[in-house]
Amino acid sequence: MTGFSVELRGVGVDFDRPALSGVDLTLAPGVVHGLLGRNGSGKTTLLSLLAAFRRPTHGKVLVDGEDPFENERVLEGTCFVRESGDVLGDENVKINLDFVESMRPAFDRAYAEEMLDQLEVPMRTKVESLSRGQRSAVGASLGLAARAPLTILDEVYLGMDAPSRYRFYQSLLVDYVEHPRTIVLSSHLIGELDRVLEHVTILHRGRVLLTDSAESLQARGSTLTGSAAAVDEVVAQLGIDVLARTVLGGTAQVTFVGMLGQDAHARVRSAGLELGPVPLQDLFVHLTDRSAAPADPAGSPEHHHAEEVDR
Amino acid sequence: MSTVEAPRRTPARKSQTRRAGEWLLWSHLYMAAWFWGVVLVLAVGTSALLSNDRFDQSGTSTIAFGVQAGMWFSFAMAIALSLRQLEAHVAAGLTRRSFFRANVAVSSLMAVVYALVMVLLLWVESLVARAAGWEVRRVSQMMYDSVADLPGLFVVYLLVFLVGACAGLVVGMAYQRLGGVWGTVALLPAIPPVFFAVDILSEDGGGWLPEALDPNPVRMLLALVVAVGYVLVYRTQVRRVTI
Repeated sequence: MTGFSVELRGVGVDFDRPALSGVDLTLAPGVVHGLLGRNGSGKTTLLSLLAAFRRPTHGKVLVDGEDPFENERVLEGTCFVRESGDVLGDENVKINLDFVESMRPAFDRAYAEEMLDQLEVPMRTKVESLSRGQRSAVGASLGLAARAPLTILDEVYLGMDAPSRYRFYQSLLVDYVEHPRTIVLSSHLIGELDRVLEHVTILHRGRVLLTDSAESLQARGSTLTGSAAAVDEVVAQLGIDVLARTVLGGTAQVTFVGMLGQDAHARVRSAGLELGPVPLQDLFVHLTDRSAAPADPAGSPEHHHAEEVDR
Repeated sequence: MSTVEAPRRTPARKSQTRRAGEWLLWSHLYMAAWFWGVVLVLAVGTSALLSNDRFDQSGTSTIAFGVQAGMWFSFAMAIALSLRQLEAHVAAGLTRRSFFRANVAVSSLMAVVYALVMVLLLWVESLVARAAGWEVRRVSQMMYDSVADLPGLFVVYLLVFLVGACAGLVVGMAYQRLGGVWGTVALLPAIPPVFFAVDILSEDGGGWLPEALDPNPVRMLLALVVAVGYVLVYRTQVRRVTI
């Protein structure tokens, strides 16, 4: 297995109020993980613990089996890129590459320059004078070129325009295949990321709401697509709790959580409807909706997942 | 396909402290070159004005006025350059421990550089002054009569610049940890030891010391204690700082 593993046991971080509380989480090495959550859910705080940017108030953080705080070996193998960049803002991009190259022996300078060129970032401009999207591109390029066994990218692609984001996702996948390692991507923009992620953890109000493979997560819900009248009729007959409904002309698609039993499957087929996987984003919205999913055991997602629509 | 393996031990290469220290050192040297360049221009200009009969030749070195400027400049650079690098340092996978060590080492080295430049400029100034028939003798409230006095002056300047730089490190980290307002408030307890050290290193400083003691070594030792005190406070500040 390549890359660093991550383990958090009973981790809590307190500011004025608890930012994280009772977090137990294991991230397997060599996997692209997604850490999803709404704004203020504790994503950046959790990632800061992995890179030893801060210490937990409670609990234990282990990266590759060791406490990362002031751990030279683990820190040199960890690269955490925040949206803020954490670069020398008053220096140009080239000097920042010089800096990282002199600090990180595994840094791939040629790859970073190639990626910055692809993302159209000027090398002779001060980082603080770049646009938000270009600054994001600098952070993303430095993060991937660091070739760290644990690479953490925290919302780094937020400022990029759509073509740059897609170029970044593509570069990420290619680089991950060529240099397998543990990658953690955090975002609250899930629609574009779901094809990249292998494992997903959702944080909500400072707690882990669920952690599962992206595949089995998507299998926890489904979509029904077909003529609007047929969709509405089947939904009514089966008593499906619809999360989202989109209509285009005479065609409708509904998203729901839960598994269909054999009878329900037969009813769907007979109505000429198409059954598909649930978009991760719809599932995320459902699970983290304040009114639908309080962060307590009674409202845990397991409760939602257990329900079976078979009426 | 190459895999990114977890290094089981750090391979033989430059230590983190050295990597960070070299970068810091170049930043400090770059700024110091500008500073001493400006001091030199001002000193030459002032000397040219003083050579005019309209000014009284008071027997005071103009270069010597650079001590206060140098001390506060190294104080300011310690704040700015260390803070500038902190987040990038930890984000580049280096420890706070290496950041602390690199900053203390570079501050000490820069104190040596500043003190060397000071005594070198004083020496050149004295040569020029004597050639012009002036009497430049009084340096930072101390008498400077010959080259033999330069080593003593070097040690005094070294301590002055070292205390200034170490105080800057503490104040910088106070800004990092407490923010702008409380960081500025932290100047109140952080600065008086600098004044104490400067005062005790001056010619008439340490008058309150017991007469049985040889005042010069004791005064220097006290200034060194101030610098070490700043370093200890700085170590405590850096050890668990949140990035």
